[in-house]
Amino acid sequence: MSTTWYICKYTPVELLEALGGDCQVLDYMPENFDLSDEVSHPNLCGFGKAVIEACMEGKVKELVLVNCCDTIRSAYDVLLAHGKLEFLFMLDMLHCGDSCAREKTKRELLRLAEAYAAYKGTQFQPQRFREAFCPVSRPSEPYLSVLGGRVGEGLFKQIEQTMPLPVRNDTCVHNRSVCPPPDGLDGLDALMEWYAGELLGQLPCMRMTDAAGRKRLYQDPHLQGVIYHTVKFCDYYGFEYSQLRRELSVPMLKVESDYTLQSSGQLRTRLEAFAESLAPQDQRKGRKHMSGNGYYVGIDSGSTSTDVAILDKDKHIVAQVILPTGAGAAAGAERALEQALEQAGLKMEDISATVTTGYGRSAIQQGDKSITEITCHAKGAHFLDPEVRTIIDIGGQDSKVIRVDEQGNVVNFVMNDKCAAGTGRFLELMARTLELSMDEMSTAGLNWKEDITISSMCTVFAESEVVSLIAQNKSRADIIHGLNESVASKTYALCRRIGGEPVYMMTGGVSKNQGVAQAIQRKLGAELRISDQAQLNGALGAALFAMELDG
Amino acid sequence: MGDIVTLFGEMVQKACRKDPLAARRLLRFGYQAKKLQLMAMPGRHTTKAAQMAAVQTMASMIAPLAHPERAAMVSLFLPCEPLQVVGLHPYSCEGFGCFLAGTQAEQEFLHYAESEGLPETFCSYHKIFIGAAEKGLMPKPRFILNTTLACDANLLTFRRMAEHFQVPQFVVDVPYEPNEDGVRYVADQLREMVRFVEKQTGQQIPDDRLSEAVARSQRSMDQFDRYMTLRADKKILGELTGEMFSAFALHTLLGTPETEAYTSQCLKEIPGAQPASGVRLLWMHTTPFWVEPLRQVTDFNPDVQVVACDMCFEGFVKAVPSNPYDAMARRVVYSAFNGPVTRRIQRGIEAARQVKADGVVWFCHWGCKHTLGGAQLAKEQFEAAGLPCLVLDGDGCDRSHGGEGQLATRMDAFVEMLRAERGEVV
Repeated sequence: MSTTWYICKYTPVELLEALGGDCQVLDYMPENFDLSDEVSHPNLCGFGKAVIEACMEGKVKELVLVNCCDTIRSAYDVLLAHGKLEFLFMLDMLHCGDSCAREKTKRELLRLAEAYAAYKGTQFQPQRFREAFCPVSRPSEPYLSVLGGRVGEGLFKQIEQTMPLPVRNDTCVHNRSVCPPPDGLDGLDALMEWYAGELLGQLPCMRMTDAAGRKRLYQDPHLQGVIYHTVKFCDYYGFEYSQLRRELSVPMLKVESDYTLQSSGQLRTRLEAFAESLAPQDQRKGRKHMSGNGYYVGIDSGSTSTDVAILDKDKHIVAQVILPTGAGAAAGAERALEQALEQAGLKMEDISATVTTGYGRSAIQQGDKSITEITCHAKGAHFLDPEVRTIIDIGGQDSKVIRVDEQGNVVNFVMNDKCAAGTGRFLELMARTLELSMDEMSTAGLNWKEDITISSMCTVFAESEVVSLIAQNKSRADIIHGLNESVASKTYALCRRIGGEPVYMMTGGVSKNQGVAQAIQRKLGAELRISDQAQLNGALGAALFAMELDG
Repeated sequence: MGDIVTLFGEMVQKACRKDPLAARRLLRFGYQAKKLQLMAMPGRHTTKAAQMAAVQTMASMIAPLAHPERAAMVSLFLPCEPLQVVGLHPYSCEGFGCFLAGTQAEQEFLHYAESEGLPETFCSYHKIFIGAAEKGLMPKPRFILNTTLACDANLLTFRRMAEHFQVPQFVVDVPYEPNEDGVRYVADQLREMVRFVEKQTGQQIPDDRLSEAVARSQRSMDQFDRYMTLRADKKILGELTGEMFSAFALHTLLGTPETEAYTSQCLKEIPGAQPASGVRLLWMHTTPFWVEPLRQVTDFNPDVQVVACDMCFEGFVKAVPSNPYDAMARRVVYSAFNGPVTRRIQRGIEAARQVKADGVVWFCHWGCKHTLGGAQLAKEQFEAAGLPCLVLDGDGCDRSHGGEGQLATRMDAFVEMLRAERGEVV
């Protein structure tokens, strides 16, 4: 039997099944959006593009859409013109559930029933209609919930595998809550009248005028944490996230995907860090006595540099090495470790435990355990300065802000999203445009005269803006000051998103840039502590975790 | 002039950090000064009609700042005639987004909204407004009225604003299918909306007064429609900003005597205008009036003119003013922005023929999924109708999305192409 795909919880699935349909939720995550971009626009939301892609690839022949949002309406327009589908229908679902809306929705249901029955050559079967309803249950054990914009199959599996507790998919279509009709209700007309009210009266989605009922999703007593997912270019759920930041009493992680698995590397780090923050005791699980002579190694394999720290059992740093990562994370780590051992006059046999962290952490063979750089940075910063409550880490590839408690545990964190703006790479590119070394960039903006605003947030456009400022004979110091302010603005916005509070510490390669550090300090209106070991912070945290492994 | 605006924009943003009320007073003072300038020195090339639209819109921005207790926040497509009857000022969210960008005061508010967790990809007009409201620059309105037409941002922004300001909200739910059933459904809601306004204000909205306002709306739309037809053979120079003023005059201010006077003035200027010449463009969606290199191509240029913009005429329908609820409902249900995007494209094709446009610019404003999603279909269908179409990606108001040079290059190349098609020397 052919499958009728649907995307929205307001879809009358039971009606379609009563007419002989076999319905499934479309959660396809494509490799890319080549076919969709040809017929629509790259800046549509990733899910809408995934729907178009699935249809254009020929995976979907029957599709029932709901007038959910601007993107789905656009997808419908595009598929009508280019989709080559055997059955395509869009249901006009209203935004409220009053009696007029129910009446109008009933007419829509009858319109769909007529079109679908004609397509299938079937008739409405009341018994099948009743049997099609699935029981709706809420959890009775501790669990985590993925909320927000719909999450694709692949990403949800990744979340389930990473988290220490059972995970529910409560996003979008997956929190459907339609109950069976009361006994004694007969006839298509009467059933549809009731069904329209039942569909509209579900736990609301963000498109409904009154979305207050969504509180049920996050006020559940068994809920232990929330992974809040948004899809790039879908706006509905960003608003709920903004509200939950203030209201939610359980830990929350915000992740954003474009509905492909391409960004899984960066999401993996966030998911693992969140899992670590939910279950810090997990890091001490399996604690055992290690061999070696009481030396502990932390390796932080970043995109730009690989850092190694070795601690003795009294937490003294006996070696510290920072080397360019080069082409491969594993080879880079091996090289850096060799140098660190040489610096400390140690052999591999002296090492009791090794923890790896950073982007390349999984590729490195030497480690006993790998822990995300977020948890390691928190640990390292707490070791360097126990008063620190917010860490601002700006590295080559990403920037992140981590809030820690008085024990150095991660309370909350946020990372920038797949964009070079506000990172070390942004400054490197701008230094190249200005023909300056990174050391020169660090101080060249300190003696600025004119307050220039670099308005473009996009790295490419900012580069054009810098080129045109050079053409206007603006001084280098003023341009660099403008760039520093731009990075500081981006960083300050990240800080605000998670409610950063003093004492602030800055780590990562960019902490050496005096201009940027001063600009961030001005924005925060608070002192920014920068340790001499700032760049080594992740490796230091990893070495401290290595020490905890040795019982 | 640009530098004065930059300086003023910075002053507003800086003042808002310390004292939002002082920033609001400053903004009001700046807009009042600008209104006086528009009245006294509108610019050498500005027509009387364009001056009227600019002054009228500027006054409508000042009113909610001066008397927020007499202002109702509205979405762009909401029929505002009931507000006019009770003497309330429409307080346009999109309008302020646009004006704050024109004042070069948008970045502070955009950053604030994003740091509150709102999506970077959200419509910049709405994001600027939310940032400005939540930072305290925008005053608390009496209540909020909005439709669900055309844009998801309506559902999100106005709900958030109602919660932020703790004021009542009324939503007019516009069905997707443009048909008579939808007109009846919306007309019923507009009746309820009127009861809501009466309850909130304690004032009556008599049917005859409402019919008068709706009749003015109808006459204004008819006059502007006739103006578009007559403009086809005339050269009337204007600017991108003017199209936005016109859009406000023909939406939130539709039904006022000022808008009727404006459309009447448009018609009066036809006989004295020179015969048509140069490249004529139909603009679809909002205009990125802040992009200076683009303005050099389109503003007061005898060789290239934007002759119509669909933000002005999307809701023109024939209706009977004696049934005001039906007439107002008809405008939103049959709006070219409602239903499949092909309706908007077809309306664009008709308008392009009406004003004798040589080509069409489909402007994909950042975050507007309706326009983005229809871009390729628009290109295909305009071109199939013999109208070359440029899909232009940009942002109507957020400078940080940059790309001015790229926008102007594409526009220049498109104009060169159209001139070559007309047999002109490029």
